[in-house]
Amino acid sequence: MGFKEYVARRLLSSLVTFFLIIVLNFFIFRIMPGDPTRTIARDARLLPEQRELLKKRFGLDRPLWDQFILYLVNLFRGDLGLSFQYRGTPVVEVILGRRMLNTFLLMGSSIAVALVIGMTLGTIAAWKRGSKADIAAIIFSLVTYSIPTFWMGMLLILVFGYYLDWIPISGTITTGVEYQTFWEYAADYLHHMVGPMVTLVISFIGYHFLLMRNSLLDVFTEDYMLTAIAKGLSTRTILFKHAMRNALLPMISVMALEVVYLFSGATATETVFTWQGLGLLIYESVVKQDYPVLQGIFIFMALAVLTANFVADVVYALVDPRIRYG
Amino acid sequence: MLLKVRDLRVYYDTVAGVVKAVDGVSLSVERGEIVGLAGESGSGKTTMARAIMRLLPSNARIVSGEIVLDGVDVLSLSESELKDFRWKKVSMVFQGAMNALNPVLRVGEQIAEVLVEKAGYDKRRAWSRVEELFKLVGIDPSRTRDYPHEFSGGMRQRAVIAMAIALNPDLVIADEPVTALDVVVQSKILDLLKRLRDELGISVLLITHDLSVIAEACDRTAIMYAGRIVEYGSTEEVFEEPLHPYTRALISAFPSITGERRSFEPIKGDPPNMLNLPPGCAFHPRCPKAFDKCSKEVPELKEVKGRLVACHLWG
Amino acid sequence: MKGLKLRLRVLRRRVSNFWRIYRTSKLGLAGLAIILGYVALAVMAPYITPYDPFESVALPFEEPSPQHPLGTDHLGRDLLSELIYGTRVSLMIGLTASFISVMIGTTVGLIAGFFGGKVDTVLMRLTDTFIQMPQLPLMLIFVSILGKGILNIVLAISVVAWTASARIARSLTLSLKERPFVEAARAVGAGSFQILWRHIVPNVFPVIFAYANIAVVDAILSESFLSFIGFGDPRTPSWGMILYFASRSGAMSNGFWWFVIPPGLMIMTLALGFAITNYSLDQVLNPRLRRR
Repeated sequence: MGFKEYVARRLLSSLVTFFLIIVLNFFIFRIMPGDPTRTIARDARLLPEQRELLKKRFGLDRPLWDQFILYLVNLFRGDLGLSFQYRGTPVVEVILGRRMLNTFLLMGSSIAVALVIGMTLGTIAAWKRGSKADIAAIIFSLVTYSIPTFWMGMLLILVFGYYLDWIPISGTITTGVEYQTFWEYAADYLHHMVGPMVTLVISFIGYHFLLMRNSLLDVFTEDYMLTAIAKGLSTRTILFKHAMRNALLPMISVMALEVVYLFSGATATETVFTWQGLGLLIYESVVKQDYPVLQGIFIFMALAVLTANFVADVVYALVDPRIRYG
Repeated sequence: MLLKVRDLRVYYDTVAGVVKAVDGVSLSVERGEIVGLAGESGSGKTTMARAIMRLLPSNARIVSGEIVLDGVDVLSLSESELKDFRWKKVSMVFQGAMNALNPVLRVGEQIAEVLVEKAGYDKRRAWSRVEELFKLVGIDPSRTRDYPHEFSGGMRQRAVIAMAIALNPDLVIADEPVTALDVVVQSKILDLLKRLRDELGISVLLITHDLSVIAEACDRTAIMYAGRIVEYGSTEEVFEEPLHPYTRALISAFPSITGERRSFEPIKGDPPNMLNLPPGCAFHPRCPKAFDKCSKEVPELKEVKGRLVACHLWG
Repeated sequence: MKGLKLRLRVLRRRVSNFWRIYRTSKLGLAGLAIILGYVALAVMAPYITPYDPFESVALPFEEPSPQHPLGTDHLGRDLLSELIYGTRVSLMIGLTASFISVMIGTTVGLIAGFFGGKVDTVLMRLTDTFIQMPQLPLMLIFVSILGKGILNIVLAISVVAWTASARIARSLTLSLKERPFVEAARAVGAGSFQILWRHIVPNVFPVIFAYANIAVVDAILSESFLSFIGFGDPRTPSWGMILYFASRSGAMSNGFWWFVIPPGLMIMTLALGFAITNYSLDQVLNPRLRRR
């Protein structure tokens, strides 16, 4: 099977899964006790005419089957209903835009930093397996894995926000400040990003470290590594050319998984620091029972998962020459 | 003399105890000679090979002995001297049909990199040298940019040999070079090794459990049992008239070595437990000719009829 | 009867073999000690707490003092007593939720791996999609549908977290299916259910048991967050709930460190106990990682 056919197959498989998720999403929000229209239109925060409009557009007075068809039609038009908490703002507008940008900046930079640090440490630890540094790094990883992320955020706020006054306690920018230049704005924004970013980096490092270390230890047992050492190549060539490339293969799917966080946000961290991203939006929608937004986010995350996976499959096929497109 | 190993002892520390994988082995290889090292799995052949390249796993320790290759005391080399020593003086042919080539790098790249890193070639010259090497070992030179999985088992083995001779080493250690290949390909690869010996004058230490491979390719043969060499002499003589009972048993355990059919007799008894070797000659519990002394005294390797044998039957 | 005795003997030998190796891991013993310490704390809570954790016994926000070693909360309740009682809630929810999720996952994985074909395709497609969805948001969506309360937290965690164990159980089943003893059982005419129950389940179990530790860690951490954002039961405060009260009553902006630090340390240490146990089990059970 050729590369094109392989890609086409993966694409088809992703589409099928996406359809399954849409079905799931439709029913999950309709199994709740009471009136099912409650999750779409019957909310006091919407104006009466908005409720009427939704009722008609989503066919809420019609049988379930019709509702499902209408739901699909609206979905492909990009209509995910109206948000309750934002008094009738379309869900798509609530999700896309500013909040998404905030999450992208925070998550993107945190994941990148954590990946670089975690993978470098993992490589060193695997090479010096059993050394004091290796064991210390393992314990550090297990500890950071065990820290509740939101509590780490609270600690940082308490120590660096309250006692030392180095970082702002909450928000994305300082409220009520008029910025003279863009750079002033950017500086304030980045200052607010320090706390959540440090929290996220620490919570991600351990995971990356352990994955990289184990992946490399697997590679080290392979015969071709013995060949590389026998060839008298430099440690750098052995590690980064021969071992790293093979060890990175399993990391591709991990990275794909983390791309998804770009779209879901870091709920715990964003909540503690009131960082105005998608994670905080999820929290607020849950607390304020804004079901249309939650449904929208669910679809959105699923789309991100499938896209990321699809891309990972393709990248995998490109990087690993052995892949038999099956 | 090119390689001289004297009284080498390599022990492994394991959870279950100490394994004396190589226990007092002496062996020499002349220039331009193919020496076979044969024995059952676990007899210490591979440990020997690894020790010569200083590639032992971390739980191995060299208890005593000396390895001298072309005047270089191998065991006293520092880490950085080792990098220079490996592949230039001695290279290795691993079981290439299996996993010796890195799956994500092009075959040519894996040969070119040693030329670039260790012999100061520039990229372009290295690649044209790779093409020459491919021709030399009988692979179509247009395939240097293929990945290992695009090669057949025999081609991979040829590529691994090309890699081993890239820097013109004095000695090539071939560890089970033809295992897992079919018989026709096997003899082609062995012919290639012999041809390279003739053309380039390299020496080969050929390690295998398969006596037919030894008979086909080696000038001299050493038979190992439980970490010791029990017989060492010219291949012809060893196969014509094995002096050690183990050699004899081993030869008759192989149904057809020179083509004629012999009676097939598996060696009786179990392979030795390396954690708890029998006292005296390790082979005595399985030996049809064992007598008193065999369970008490370890036999020394002594010259008998122009070769070396470690057996109380001979003195 | 005889069969049972034999199996018990095999089991006992396996356990003692396992313990012989596990014992050598200092990290593993430390993890076990932490877990047992918490269990003891949970069991003995009524006997060792200085005050009733549900009663106001002093002024609100009192700093640590000899009377109240960890100070008091926003209602003047003794925080040390609350923390000790919180062990019960957190440990209980963590263990229950992970048990349910591992059971769901193992069942799905066993069925998918053993029967293969369409069943496998459908189940694994479901698993693969769920496994990659960010777990916390998913749990949040579930609790928002289910509502507040301990039972709903347990349900939300179980419904979301089963996927990893499904993957592990499936791949184990797939490899076990090819083993000679399963083929032999099939050859002598054993039924599917019998093979699954007698030959596959007993071999899947030890690995799942090791994995379950990390499921407990995840469950403990998830519970603490769900309680922290106010989905717990205020009448049975877990550590996450205490942090919710702390955050609500402005402990961070007023520097009430005793209200913030100890509950988090309790969560972290308990989670760490299970995490290092899991790590050590992995070293023992996974021959690839074991040093020669």
